[in-house]
Amino acid sequence: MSFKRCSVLAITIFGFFMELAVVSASTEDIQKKIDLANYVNNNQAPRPSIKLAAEARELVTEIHFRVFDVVKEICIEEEIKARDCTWSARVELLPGFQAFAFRANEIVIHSGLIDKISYDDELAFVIAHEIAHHLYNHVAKKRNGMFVGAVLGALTGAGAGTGATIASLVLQSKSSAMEIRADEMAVKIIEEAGYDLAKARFVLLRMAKLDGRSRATILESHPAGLERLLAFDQLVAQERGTR
Amino acid sequence: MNRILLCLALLVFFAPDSDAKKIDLECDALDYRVESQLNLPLQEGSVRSATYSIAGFLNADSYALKVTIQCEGKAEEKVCIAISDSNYCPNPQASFRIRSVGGSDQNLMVKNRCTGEWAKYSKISSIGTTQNYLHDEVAFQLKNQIYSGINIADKPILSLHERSEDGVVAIKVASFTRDLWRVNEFDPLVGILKVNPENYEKDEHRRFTLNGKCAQRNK
Repeated sequence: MSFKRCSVLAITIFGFFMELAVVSASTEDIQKKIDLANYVNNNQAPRPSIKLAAEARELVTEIHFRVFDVVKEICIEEEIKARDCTWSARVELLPGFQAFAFRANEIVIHSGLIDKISYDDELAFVIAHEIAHHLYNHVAKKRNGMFVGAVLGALTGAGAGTGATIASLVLQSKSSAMEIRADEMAVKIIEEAGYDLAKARFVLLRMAKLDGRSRATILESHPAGLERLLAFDQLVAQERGTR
Repeated sequence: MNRILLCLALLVFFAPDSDAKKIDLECDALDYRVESQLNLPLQEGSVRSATYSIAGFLNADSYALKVTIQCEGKAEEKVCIAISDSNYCPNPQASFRIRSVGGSDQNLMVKNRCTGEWAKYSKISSIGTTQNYLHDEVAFQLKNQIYSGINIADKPILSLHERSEDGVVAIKVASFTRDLWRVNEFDPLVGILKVNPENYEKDEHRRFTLNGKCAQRNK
């Protein structure tokens, strides 16, 4: 059997067992998800308003500055160099409910997301989440992982494509953890910046309704909307418990 | 002259009472609850999701177009969860209107409280003092056996009960059941109606019933 076939078989078996592990969640966890699903289905986030492109950009700039005041302090505490602690946030006129951290220091927010939220606190959470990805160097980690996978694939004779696939699968399984970690940091940042966590939570409620999944499979890059909402509630409870 | 007056008086006296069956009601949006756990049967007042077909009656600010179902756990502990998406109603109102067309109660116009649009409902049966109505387009499709592609489970039947002494009319919005399709005793469709809703009309996990009340509108 060739190395390529072996690796595909190994990934399949790995995926199967990981899927099994995810499916066999505890009864308590399942009950929490049922309660949260009932909450998501029976509650509505406040009605949003469509913003003009200029308004959306102004809003992003204003929130970015307010959030940045807190992040600056974190950078000093964590001894992060000043050049690694600056970001540019820009709005792209696209309808998706999306935002992402990009390159070394860029944050892109789709205008569709800004149009579908009603509170500044929700947008502050999104911006803080993307900043957290940069602070934790997640973008570079993903890029490097892909590169290492491609090189390993080429060196072992399985081909750069197979190597990249393996790297991508491993990274995606880590990616969900990165998202939760970024949410954790975002909660700290926006609370410090004076935003209301209860209002910020609406962005996750909207996502849970859009997403519809109750759990993500091991090969998905983002946790399901319901899992993320559940994690957010736990983070907020922890945050309040430590104060 | 006297004869003419006598004729007019007789005509007025024996003329059919056109207002007797006239309906003009203002109804409170129906309270409901979404039951997310598919393993649990739908209780009265519960729905699986506030779909577009029923959102016009519900006390909701939004309607669902997509439902995602995922299961958790294994074997006997397996639980399936349904989560609906959410689309805002363009013109939500606290109540909706029901009015008859002309002096007859054969056809009703119902104002959708989510969109503000009027829709025609046709009477499909009259059982005791209860009148049952179905959205006219669906009734037409069923009558003409254009049943292919209709998700009949989602098309509600609107039932109006007799007006009480205080002028309140109880209403029921429920999923379609074939026994309510009785246009008249001799309707050949009663026996050969090809829509086969048995799989859900007896399924307590899919069948929903919502109750509400309406008041006569003041003119």
